[in-house]
Amino acid sequence: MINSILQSTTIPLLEQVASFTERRQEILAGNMANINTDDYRMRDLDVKKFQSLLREAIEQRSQPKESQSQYPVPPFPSPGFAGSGQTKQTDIAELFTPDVFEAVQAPPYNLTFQDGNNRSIEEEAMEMTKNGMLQSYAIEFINAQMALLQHVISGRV
Amino acid sequence: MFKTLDISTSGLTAQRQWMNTIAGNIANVNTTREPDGGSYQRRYVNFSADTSQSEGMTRGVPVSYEVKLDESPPRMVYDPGHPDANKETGMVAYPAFDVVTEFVNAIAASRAYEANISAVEMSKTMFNKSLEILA
Repeated sequence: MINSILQSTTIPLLEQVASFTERRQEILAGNMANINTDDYRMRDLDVKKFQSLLREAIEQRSQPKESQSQYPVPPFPSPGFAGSGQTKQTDIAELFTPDVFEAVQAPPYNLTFQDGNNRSIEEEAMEMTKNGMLQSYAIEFINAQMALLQHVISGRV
Repeated sequence: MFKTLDISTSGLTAQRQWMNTIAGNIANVNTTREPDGGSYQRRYVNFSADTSQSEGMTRGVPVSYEVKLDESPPRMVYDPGHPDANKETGMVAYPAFDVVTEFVNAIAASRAYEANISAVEMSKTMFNKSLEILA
């Protein structure tokens, strides 16, 4: 029942964003620590793939699924109607497979200096800032949605 | 939303490259021998606005830089005993710039770098303030 309550919010999606950005922050910190290492090549997570998976998950939410319950499914797109919520939770978790969270040998930006390396401390610091801010946003939104749910449950504002 | 930070990053990278060329110039202020002959030629950086990615006038414009060689003629000094002196005339070619100009450029580059950092800090504060709409 908790799952279907959470389906009416965007918390499962935000949870994936928060996990992804947390993992990415580790990788970027490793890049920053190796800023002076000669043969080090930048690593990163596959951000484009994650974004396309996120888009796909949002598409799935807005399409009404074939419900297995006896309640009629409304014709408008409704996230997590009672009875179809259970399948949606597993779908989102299945969508974000573990290989999205594995680091690949790709720089988070396009830059090449004369000695062939692609390290730049400003770019790295900027990527970490953007990533950290995205994680803060995701967690703030989770907080706001949880507060909303609590208001609804307690019936008091 | 994070485009502002990318623009400031381009400014930071450009100023750092300028600082690198200035440091190279200062280090080579008395270099009379280069591998392909002649004295050291001063490098300078050309900055230009990178309008390739912005849509018309509506978005901020990042900066791009290009390192160029200064073609001005070297400063000739009469010194027949110098190993790099010209055999007939006895003149040695020294680089044509002075350290004082380079230091002033270095001050300008470091101030511009700090200004870009301030812009980044202000952008971050603005982004964080926007979260207060939720609270």
